[in-house]
Amino acid sequence: MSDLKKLQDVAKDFTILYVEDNDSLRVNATRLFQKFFPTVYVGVDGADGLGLFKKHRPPIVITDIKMPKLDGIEMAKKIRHIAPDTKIIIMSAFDEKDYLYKAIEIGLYRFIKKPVNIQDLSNVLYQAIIQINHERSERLFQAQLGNIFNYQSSMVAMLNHTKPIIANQVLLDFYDAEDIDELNEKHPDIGAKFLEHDGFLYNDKDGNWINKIQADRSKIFNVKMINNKGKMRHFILKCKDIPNKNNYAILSFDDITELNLLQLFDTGATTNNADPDSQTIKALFELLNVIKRNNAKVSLYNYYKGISITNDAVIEQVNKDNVILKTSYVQQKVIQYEQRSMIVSEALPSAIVCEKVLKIEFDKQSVILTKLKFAVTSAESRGAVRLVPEDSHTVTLFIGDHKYTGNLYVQDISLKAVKLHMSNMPAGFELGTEVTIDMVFTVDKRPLIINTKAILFKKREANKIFEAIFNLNIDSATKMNLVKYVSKRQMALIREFKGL
Amino acid sequence: MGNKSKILFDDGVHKCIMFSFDDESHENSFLSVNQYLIIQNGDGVLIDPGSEAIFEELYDAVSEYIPVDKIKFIFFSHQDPDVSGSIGQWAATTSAKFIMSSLWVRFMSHYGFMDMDKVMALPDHGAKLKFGEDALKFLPAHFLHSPGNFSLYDTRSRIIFSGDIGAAILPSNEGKKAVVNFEEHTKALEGFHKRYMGSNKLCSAWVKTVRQHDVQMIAPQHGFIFEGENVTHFLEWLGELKCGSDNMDLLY
Repeated sequence: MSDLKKLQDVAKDFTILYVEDNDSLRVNATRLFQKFFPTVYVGVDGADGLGLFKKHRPPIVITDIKMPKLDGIEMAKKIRHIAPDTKIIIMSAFDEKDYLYKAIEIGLYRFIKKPVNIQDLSNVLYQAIIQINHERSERLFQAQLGNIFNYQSSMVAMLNHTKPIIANQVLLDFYDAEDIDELNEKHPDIGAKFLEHDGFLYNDKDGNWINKIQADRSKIFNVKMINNKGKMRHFILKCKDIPNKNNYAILSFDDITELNLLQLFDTGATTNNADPDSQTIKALFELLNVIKRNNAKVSLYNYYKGISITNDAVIEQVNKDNVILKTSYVQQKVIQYEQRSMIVSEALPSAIVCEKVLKIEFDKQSVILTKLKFAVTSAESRGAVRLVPEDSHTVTLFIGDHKYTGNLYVQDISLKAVKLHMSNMPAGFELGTEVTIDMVFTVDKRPLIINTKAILFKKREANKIFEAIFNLNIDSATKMNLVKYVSKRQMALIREFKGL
Repeated sequence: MGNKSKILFDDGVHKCIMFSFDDESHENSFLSVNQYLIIQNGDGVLIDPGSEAIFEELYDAVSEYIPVDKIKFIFFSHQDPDVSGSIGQWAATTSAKFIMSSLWVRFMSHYGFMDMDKVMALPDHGAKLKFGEDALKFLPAHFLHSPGNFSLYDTRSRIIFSGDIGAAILPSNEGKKAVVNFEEHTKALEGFHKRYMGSNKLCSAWVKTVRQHDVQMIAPQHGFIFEGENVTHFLEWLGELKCGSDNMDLLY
């Protein structure tokens, strides 16, 4: 496409002011401009040109310098004062340094020497229009961004690295600041207002709040603050990166105080309550809805014979008594096998146990889980991997000098403890009793013997099922054998799981 | 093979230890493979722990310095089996968090690792992690040689744990752990780096990143460590090296 055609295409929505005191030149040039611009305002001197500018405000002005009443430079100065973004192009036969300096001082767009080459002039006009369009889009974007920010009922701020550079009115009001500068001056760390609460985000000895959210932007966090009326507010905080803009992120605080969930996060409020009331269950579903609204990821936890299998998941739908999640094929498989799962999120006071599986749709990568309640123990609290041994293992238990004669097998074993299933519990078998346990496992088709002292740590009797957990008091040589067994057994179980 | 360890740094609070367990047969000799441990106030960071074949020996060796359950982080510079092959074993025997490039997280199940919640996935531009009183910086080292590759800079010891960068194909030598004659050592560096590293542009980017830090030592995963002026020599050498796609005519 020729340059003249390109100019014609972009100039059709623009007006232009042309100021020239030479009559014949003005008539000819005006005729040329009218080929591109639908409206051309024409002034015969600087004063006339200024009057026309004030009346019509065209975005582009082309002017001569030496003119009666008011010269082009003076006129340009006044126009720039009225509308600084106006693109002013000087066309003059005079290229003395004084004029050039003045033109630079005023910030004129271009200086074109007469006689004018049409090609050069059309290039300059084309570039001016492209720049105006760009500036308009930028202003529109900024205005829209401001509108979006201020329409939010949540507190929203844009961060550059860790510093807020834009904040909406709701956030400024909360922090009692007139504008962003005052916010940064009064609150160099906006997270300093976050109050300590179990499972919440705040500055503590482990680090600054901003580092914690930057570690994983897909998570959401609970935050507690007192507003300027002295009232406690409960927020869900989310930080989202701006695509293709390094070091920029949007921080949003969703005020969920009205859901009355704060007490759920008090120490033990959920973990001490194995049989939750309807209020707690309602709150649980409210929280899942908050997580879904924020498009935050959760984790699904499961165990296959003791191997922890954890995957990301997204809440797709929260219904009255069930939740639909999208997750990986591996997690779907383990859910299918175990018929249960645990939902874990920073936004929850503790993990949610889902005790029943309604549906698994492999093609849609979705699972529907029901019978939800807060877990009594934390999903992440298992310090050591506890594995179910192969069926062929044998175990012998000595209590003092006496060999236990009932039926016995290892339910699971870790580097620290072993859980035995017993056919009965010997009389007087007290916690703290020292025993000797002799176990024979198979590693690489060879027997591996673990013979160790152990202390009875916990015992459980229910429905004629007897279980005992022993803390191992293991010497270093035996420990290495156990390390070998646990690591090899884990690999065998993973192979087994993959073959399901 | 025994416990072949060397203290690289110890100021009474912070300690860096180098282990050398050889797990690969390379032609007629064993390839020297290094693993590293940082300890501060009883907490540990294990670096590039290697393959399943050396797991038990390394576990034993680490236990001589720190109870294994005190390992807080295990860092894998990249996904190769001689770096990450034992992740399943370490996951079964520690409660550590595993740090690696986000590119490789989903591949770890092939090494018998299923507990994705234990992973801290590094974004491409790296990260900084508080460790005790100091910090660990994960510096991008992509395509040198792995496409998702990081070096670890320990701000206290000022050591760069560089993974395969600076690796030399050498038979293991229990007595010798550091480069003495750099010129001589380039013979062992050249072949590996020319073929394994992505390009001079990538090497230069890494050198530029490293030069922004005060580096006293470069500790690679294979071969010898670079100390003092050999750090400067190595950075100059790597910054100039034509490798990978620079030698396209040799590859196609």
